[in-house]
Amino acid sequence: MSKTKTTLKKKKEEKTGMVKIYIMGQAYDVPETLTIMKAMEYAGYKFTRGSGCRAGFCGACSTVYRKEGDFRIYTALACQTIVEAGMVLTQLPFVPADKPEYDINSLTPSANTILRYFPEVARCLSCNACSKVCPQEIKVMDYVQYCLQGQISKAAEESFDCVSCGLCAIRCPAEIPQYHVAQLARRLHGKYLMKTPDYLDIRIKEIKEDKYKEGFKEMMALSKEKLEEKYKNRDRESN
Amino acid sequence: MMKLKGGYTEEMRKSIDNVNKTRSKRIGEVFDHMTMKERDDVLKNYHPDYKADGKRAIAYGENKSDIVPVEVADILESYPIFNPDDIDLSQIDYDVSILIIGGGGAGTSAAIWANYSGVPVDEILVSNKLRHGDANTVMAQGGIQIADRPEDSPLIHYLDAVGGGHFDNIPELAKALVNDAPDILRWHKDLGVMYDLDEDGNFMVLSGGGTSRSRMHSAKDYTGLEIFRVIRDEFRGLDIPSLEFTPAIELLTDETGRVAGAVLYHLETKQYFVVKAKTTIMSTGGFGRLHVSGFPTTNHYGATMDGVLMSYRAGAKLRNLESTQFHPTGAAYPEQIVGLLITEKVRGLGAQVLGNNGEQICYPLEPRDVEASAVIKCCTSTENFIETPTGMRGVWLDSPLIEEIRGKGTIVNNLSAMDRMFQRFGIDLTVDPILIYPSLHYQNGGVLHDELCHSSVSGLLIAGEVSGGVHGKNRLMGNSLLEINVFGRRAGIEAAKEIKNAKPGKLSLDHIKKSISVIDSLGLKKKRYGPMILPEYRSDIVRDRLVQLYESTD
Amino acid sequence: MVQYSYFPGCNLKTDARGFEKSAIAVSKKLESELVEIPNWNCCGTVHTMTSDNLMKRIAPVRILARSRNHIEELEDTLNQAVTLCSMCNSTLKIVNKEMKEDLDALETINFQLEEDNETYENDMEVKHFLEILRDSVGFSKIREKVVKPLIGLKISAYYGCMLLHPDEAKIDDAEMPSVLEDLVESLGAESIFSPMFKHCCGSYHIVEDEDIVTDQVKKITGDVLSRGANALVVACPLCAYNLDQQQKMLMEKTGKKDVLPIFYFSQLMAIAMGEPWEINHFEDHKIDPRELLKKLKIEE
Repeated sequence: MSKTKTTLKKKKEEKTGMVKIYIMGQAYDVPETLTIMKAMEYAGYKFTRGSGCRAGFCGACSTVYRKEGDFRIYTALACQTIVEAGMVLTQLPFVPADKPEYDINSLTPSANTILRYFPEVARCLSCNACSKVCPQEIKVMDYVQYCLQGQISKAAEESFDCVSCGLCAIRCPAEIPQYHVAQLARRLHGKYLMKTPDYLDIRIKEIKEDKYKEGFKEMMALSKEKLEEKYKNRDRESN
Repeated sequence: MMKLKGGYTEEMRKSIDNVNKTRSKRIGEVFDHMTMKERDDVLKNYHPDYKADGKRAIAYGENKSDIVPVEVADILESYPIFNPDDIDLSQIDYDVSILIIGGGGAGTSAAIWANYSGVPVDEILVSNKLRHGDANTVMAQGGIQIADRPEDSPLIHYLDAVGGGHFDNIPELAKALVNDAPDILRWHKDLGVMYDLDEDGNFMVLSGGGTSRSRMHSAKDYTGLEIFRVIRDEFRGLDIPSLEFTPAIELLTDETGRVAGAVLYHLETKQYFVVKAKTTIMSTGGFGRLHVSGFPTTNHYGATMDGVLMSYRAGAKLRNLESTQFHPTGAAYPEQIVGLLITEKVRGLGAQVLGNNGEQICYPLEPRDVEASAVIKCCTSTENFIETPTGMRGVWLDSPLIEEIRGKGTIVNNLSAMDRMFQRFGIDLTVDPILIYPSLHYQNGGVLHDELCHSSVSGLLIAGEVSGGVHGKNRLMGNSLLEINVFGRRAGIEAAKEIKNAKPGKLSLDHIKKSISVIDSLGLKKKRYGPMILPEYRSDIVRDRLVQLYESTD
Repeated sequence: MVQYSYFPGCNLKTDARGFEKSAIAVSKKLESELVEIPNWNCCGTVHTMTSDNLMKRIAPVRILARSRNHIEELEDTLNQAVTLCSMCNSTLKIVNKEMKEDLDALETINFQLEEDNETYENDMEVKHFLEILRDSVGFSKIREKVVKPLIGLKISAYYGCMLLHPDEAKIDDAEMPSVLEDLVESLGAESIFSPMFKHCCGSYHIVEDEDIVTDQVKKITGDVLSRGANALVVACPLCAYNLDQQQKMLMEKTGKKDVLPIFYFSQLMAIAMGEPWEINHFEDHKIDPRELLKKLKIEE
């Protein structure tokens, strides 16, 4: 872990390589190479909410910001985005979107299933506000539309990179919780529309029927040397 | 700000030229595997586990005298973070059958399987330090090992696992791991996990380091996230009670020494909760945020080894904490993503590991400890490394080679997370190689348990990364995503059985009071406290100006 | 092969899949292939058109913009977005006209679309597939492709409301249309006129006020049957549903035996052109047309 080497007294002239950002309205000078997350820690915030995997997979650090002089709204994952001068930012501590309860075993992969649990999907205006805020560049509107059209597999594939940050749901004028819709579409696709090769169940049966019982008994009784020998000489599948 | 081309400096571009020059001849070039002796040599000389400095013997307890990294010893040899007398144990806030500490992949599986095994949801409680699912599970990228193909078998998987673990794996645990694997895959498919399929409808499988068969099943490079979000969706659908931002800060025991629940603490409201439980499952994950040996980490924010410490204070035996896994390929550039995981799948798809001169430095898929050591060797004992503007050293991972071998578009289709991560910083890894250096990745050891997840303390079951013994001295890729499911499931099923006869006695924190005396006797120069809960990343300026405020009581 | 940028609309992908599949199959046979826009969105129909809110126009205008983009990839095509669904046809035609007449509204919508690298420049026409068949393909070409003339089928053409109103949406003369009759005759069937040809089927009232729909359907089918027809041909999935489902319901309720199976025009074309029957998804129908076809000895 690298401790930021800084001194207590900082003169204005010494602030090279620094930019001014506004964290929830308060101005801070932070090193220009930091990510938003590290800049907030530099400024003194110790995260409880707002930091999860720190690598772009978990959606904990959804950040909304504007830039000085620019009316547009921007969004980002704080852990993956470098600060910019004039950034005026805040984070979403939580996105309220309750998930409906369903039993995946009793569902069919169809538009009606999606509409049953998320009737608000029919309100989609195709405004595309959701796609514009997605930090994973997912075409969110497109997958919502695919759900409406019963094209469950296309919806599953389009939404795959979703980290459930919630930014889409917050911006949606039709109040759709897109990431929950996508999760249902993906499970329907994964369970009902993707095949499972036969050999999986064959192997499960073999194990249940103790096909490997003796083999394990033998191997687990080997001395370390014999085991090492076996390991050294094992044949490798070419990649 | 220096001038960058495609995200790289001019200096780094010179090295990339070398890589581009050698690429066509390197297609199909296979670097020799190391012999067992060569493996031993590179490990002893370069792996942080084998360095004498940075280690210390644990000073007390069941594993007294075990040599572990100083960061681990510091945590184990610490004072509790609260005064046990301040906790009113006569008021029980949650009285449950099963308490699950840590809702990552293992804890969530445990909860679901406990419910499937007949435990009603209102008798289960999952506590999470941060959000449910803020865990290392969601960051696992490349795959999960399952020996389902006809050309493969659990016996071969077992041999790979114990060989990779330096034959120090507990045999029954390794056997459970590989035998349960196909069942786990069946469970996942039934839940709707989108595992990659090839054009023939078979699971897309690749090799990982140290595996003799291709058995890494993946969901692009979001395997952990995809598995977890499906399990989480199922968990939410079952309506199992779950607390967030409420880590456990100590276990509770009863007069027999049996674990009887835990004290939880809400990070935002600062309340504590007393949880009485017939059986407790510890599934708190890893320790990356301890930054062992000063390495950056691939782990999530809350990976601070809390569970090992709490279990140790309750008297549980530990195992293999001398062994730390450094993932061979953590990002080394740009600075903003240093330490973040570059999945082994990149090498599984064909990328080679190259020095500054553009030539391979080792076989790309040695077991992780060996591979990491080879990279460290190149960067510390040779001149064949690349140095970044901030002084970080690394070697190249030739990702564009994947496009050559498997066709244009392979990276976008199979490594979309990596592609996106680098594009955010102006680097196109389909066209340029990426810089890597080992990063602290996985807690090989932890709390010892048997194949039914029993720790050495009654009432305490163990599942997931927090455990020790499954992987011996080194875990293979894809065996951790497997472990959390296998042992999470076993813990849930076992807990459902155990609670039938469990009768926790009077709740106490006596074991904590004992801990305090033990630590007193160590005579620490400066007081340390644990569990850490969250790492400290605030700048010095800020930390120099922190102050404790007091409130009037009453 | 001429290719057309085809806008399916939600129903054609779900409940009316037989309609779509048969239409695409015959379009290929007629060398006027319907190629689906890869990234289309719902046009909103009722939701869209019952509000003046400009936001509600984004969906249909985006469709036109994406169709315009799509035609770049197609062979030998005109600036036409082709639909199969009469409600989509209506919505898109009306909105297209609005945009041509209110350039300020179009500009405001384009501000939104620009950010998605899409803009609509008023350079598309909207056509119903029936218009393409009549005006671009021609009935004589259709007649040439018939291998199983639909002899014995006495079909009454039912237009419903949406194909003929309002002015900006209609595809034929509102008082005396003939496109469906001409089509039916080119397939070898007999066309039976009924003055109920555009008597509203009840449309969305099926959701809340089913009795209205029941009444309408009784009137329509009563008249058609009295004129000796043995089937109806339609071009709208909602009309098809109402006519089909209500007749089935009445049949079960009253024991009434004489019913009229409902065909989409494309299904008739598919049968006549020798396409395999499975693409019509007759199993989705409430009154299975295969019984009538069997009786008339019209085979696959």
